[in-house]
Amino acid sequence: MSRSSHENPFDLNKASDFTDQEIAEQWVDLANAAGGLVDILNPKSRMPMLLLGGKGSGKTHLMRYCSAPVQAARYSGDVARAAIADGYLGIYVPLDALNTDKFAREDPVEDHWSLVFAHYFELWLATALLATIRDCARSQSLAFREPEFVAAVVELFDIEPAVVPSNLNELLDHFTRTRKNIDSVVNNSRLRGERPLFDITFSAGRLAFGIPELVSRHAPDLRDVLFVYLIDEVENLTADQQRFLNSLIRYRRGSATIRVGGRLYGMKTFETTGSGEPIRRGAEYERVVLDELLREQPEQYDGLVRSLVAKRLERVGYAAAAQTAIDPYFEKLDNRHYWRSVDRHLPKPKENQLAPYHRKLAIDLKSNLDLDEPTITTIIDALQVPNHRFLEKAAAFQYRKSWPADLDGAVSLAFEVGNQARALDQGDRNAGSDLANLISYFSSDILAQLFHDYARRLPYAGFDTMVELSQGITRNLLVNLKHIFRRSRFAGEEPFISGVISIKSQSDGVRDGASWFWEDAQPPSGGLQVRDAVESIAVLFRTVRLSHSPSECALCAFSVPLEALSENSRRTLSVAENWSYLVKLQEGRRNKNSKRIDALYQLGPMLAPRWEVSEHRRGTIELQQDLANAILDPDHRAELPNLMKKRLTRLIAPSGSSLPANPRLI
Amino acid sequence: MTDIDDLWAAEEETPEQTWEMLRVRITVLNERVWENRNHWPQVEAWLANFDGRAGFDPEVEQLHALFLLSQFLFIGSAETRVLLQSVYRDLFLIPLIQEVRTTLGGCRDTQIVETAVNEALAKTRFLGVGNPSESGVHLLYYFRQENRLSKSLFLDSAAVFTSTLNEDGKVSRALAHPDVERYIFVDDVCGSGDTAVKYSDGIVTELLALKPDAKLHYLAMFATRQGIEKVRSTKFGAGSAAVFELDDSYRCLSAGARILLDAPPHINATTLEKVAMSYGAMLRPGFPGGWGDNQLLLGFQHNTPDNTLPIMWAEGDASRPWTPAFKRYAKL
Repeated sequence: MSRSSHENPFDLNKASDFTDQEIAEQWVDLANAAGGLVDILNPKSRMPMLLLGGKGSGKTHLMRYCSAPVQAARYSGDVARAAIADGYLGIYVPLDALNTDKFAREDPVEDHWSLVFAHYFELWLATALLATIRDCARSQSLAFREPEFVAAVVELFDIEPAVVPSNLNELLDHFTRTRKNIDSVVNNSRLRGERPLFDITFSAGRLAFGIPELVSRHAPDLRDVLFVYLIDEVENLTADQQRFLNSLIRYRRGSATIRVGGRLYGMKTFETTGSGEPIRRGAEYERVVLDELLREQPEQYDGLVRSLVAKRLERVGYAAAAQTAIDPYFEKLDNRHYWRSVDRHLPKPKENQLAPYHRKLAIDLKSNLDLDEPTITTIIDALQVPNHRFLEKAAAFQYRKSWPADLDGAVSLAFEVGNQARALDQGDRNAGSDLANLISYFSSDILAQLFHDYARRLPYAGFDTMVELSQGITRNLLVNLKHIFRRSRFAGEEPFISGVISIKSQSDGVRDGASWFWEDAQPPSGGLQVRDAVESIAVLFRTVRLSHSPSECALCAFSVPLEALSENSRRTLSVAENWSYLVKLQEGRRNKNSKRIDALYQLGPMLAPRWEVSEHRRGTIELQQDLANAILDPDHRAELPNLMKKRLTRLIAPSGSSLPANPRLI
Repeated sequence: MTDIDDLWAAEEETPEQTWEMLRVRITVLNERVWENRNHWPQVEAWLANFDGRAGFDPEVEQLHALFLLSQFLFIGSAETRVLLQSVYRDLFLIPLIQEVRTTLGGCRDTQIVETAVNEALAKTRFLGVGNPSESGVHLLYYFRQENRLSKSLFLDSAAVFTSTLNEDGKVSRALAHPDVERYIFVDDVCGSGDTAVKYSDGIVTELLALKPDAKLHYLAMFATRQGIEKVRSTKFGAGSAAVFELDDSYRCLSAGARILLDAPPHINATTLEKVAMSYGAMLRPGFPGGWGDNQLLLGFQHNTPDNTLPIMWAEGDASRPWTPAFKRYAKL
């Protein structure tokens, strides 16, 4: 059904808000991979898997897509047929914090409570499994020996139920009543400050792995079907609770296996119950980080999100936009002829008034080289490029990078650089080759400085930019698009109906998205210090970018000698990575002095618009141990102002000048 | 504040940054409060009115105008309905219950009190202030809905009296409902209090002449403090009240204006006044700061009161066109 064209197509962006039908309808896949996204989860493999990822990376959507109700939706509602055709049956179990909290105890957890949770948790999985099996058994296409199956399941219990169930409904009722009884006992025992007491009626692993074996035996058509527990939001379990889950992973058997979904920081331990020996990656489980995987395949990700956007547009009635390429709907900064078009995004130049970058340059020439007014005027005149502010700014940028040593050099450099800029304006690339070369490296920084000079916000525009900003996390893209859509509507535009979404609306929208991302991710412990650290890094990047002479182009990443850092610093980096404030780049970076490979982190592209730093993976700076610790470790924070000043003085003052006493962050 | 804050460049915020901040504020206001009445093109059309005629750069005038717009208090339909509940419950019903209980000697028996309150309610009539086409009367429809009141409790002011032609050819006036003891006049906003005074001198005086013991109340959603005090000094008396009493700090151009307490950089109180009053004088020479010089920045979903700055609601004429931000549907 077509919906109102006034509806924001990107309003809903949480998989948990979707019905099973919507999960199936909204599904999009990787275009060129044989098995698509489902192959990443690999539900037909018996090897358990931890499916981790940043918030909104699509873990829940993927797991629910592989769950029985959505499988059934793809086969006209026949879950048995779906299981046989797919070769697996997904049992989706979201770990609702409300339900797990009541079992949580602080470490060291008494055995009693560990046992209570383990028993309850397995019953929880078994109930979900049995409900799915009942749906299967109803299928006309399936031969299922129900009484024998039920009797065999009853045999799995150590204590026979008071009233022996004779069919699936009664068996499921028995499971449900047993669970409810434990719920009641635990809730009330907490109230009374007592230990909960109830009968343990089966041994660990008997139901979770025993029931699937019985299905294979009593429903021969399902003998090749793998039963996959899709356990989502593992971060809601305490470390002690996860130990039991890890034990299930270790002792998995028969036709059942496990997929665990969670945030990057979701796994608090890899230990098992009893001996505590950790489960082994590669041998006992696989680990997949969904957003990392998608970031490593930018073309696949690009195709995926384009299909996703098309689905969203179609759903709310923008049929025409859904069927065409999305890019033309997003206005872009026109980079032809050296960004001549940016002029219209800047305030009109005022007559008889120097451009702000020339004003600042004049001040620096006076204070740094002690030049007189007529000479300064000559220099500024020589640097003018009428009607082309990008090239004029680029000339000033080049002038600063080559900063002259004396008066003669100051004037000749101005003519040299100014001539190059004017040559480029006339289309003579040979005569302006040095400047053209500099622009090819620093164009995004020159643009950033130009907008900063005019106190204008830096534009972020174009659909490809939106994809890059989302850092491999589909929800980030949807959030940005949601804000862009509302900004566009406010600006009086008709997004996806006519015309384009203006650069301003896009830039405003991504800044809203960046604020959401910054505020929404609130690490629970030490959150403030992590945010302080990330902010310091971002401000450092921004200051370098807007400095007199940026050392790196499009700076967005830093490398650090991880082993040399304090424990606190490493923890800060880990939390910042887990909350996607920072993205760890697997390739690392070779240290210029020691030649060792340092860890490399990129500021989360979603945050780039907040500080107007580059969203592209290009420039990197090396943070020495002392500065890195001052930024990342609260115990070393007091050293930060001095170290930051030391680092910045080389960048923000014209070369050869006396160092400013008080360098400033921007 | 972190320790690296000391390192921050102490760059002054530019007018462009203030503009941008106000634009963001208006984006949210439009979406969340103004019921999407002023998208940016409408805002720009309104801002285009400020073209330097107040003696400043158009950019300066427009920045100050944008600031005033960002402070506009818009009462949408949902808020209006809640306010009308409050008018009935807080300003009428609760005082009535207290009065009834007093007459019953402080009775605590809910059944007895309820019966007596219902009897008193049956002898009450609600009227809108103004003629049936005006906002006070328009509100009665929602007032009745929100408070689940019977239609029989409402009167048009023309139906308060009956006129009879006597044998001597003279018209004699009488109360149409002589058993009614309370007349409640409901209004949206009491700015200068002039409308209520007019009522007091007219219909209220006549009503009291025919029934000296009738109880009269003037109740409004909003009232300026001066306005409601003026009403209390009329025949409506002390029983007049408003849900929101707006003190002088709501006079947006006054020295103590609340909107200036946390004004952003580049917003200057003197410039603000000059811009608002200069254009106000062009639009409404007699009351550039709004009727009664109330200088309000207030508007409703159903209309904008003339006590609000004319630059917000006036339409100008052929010789001096003016695009309003929140149009006022004037009495003709």
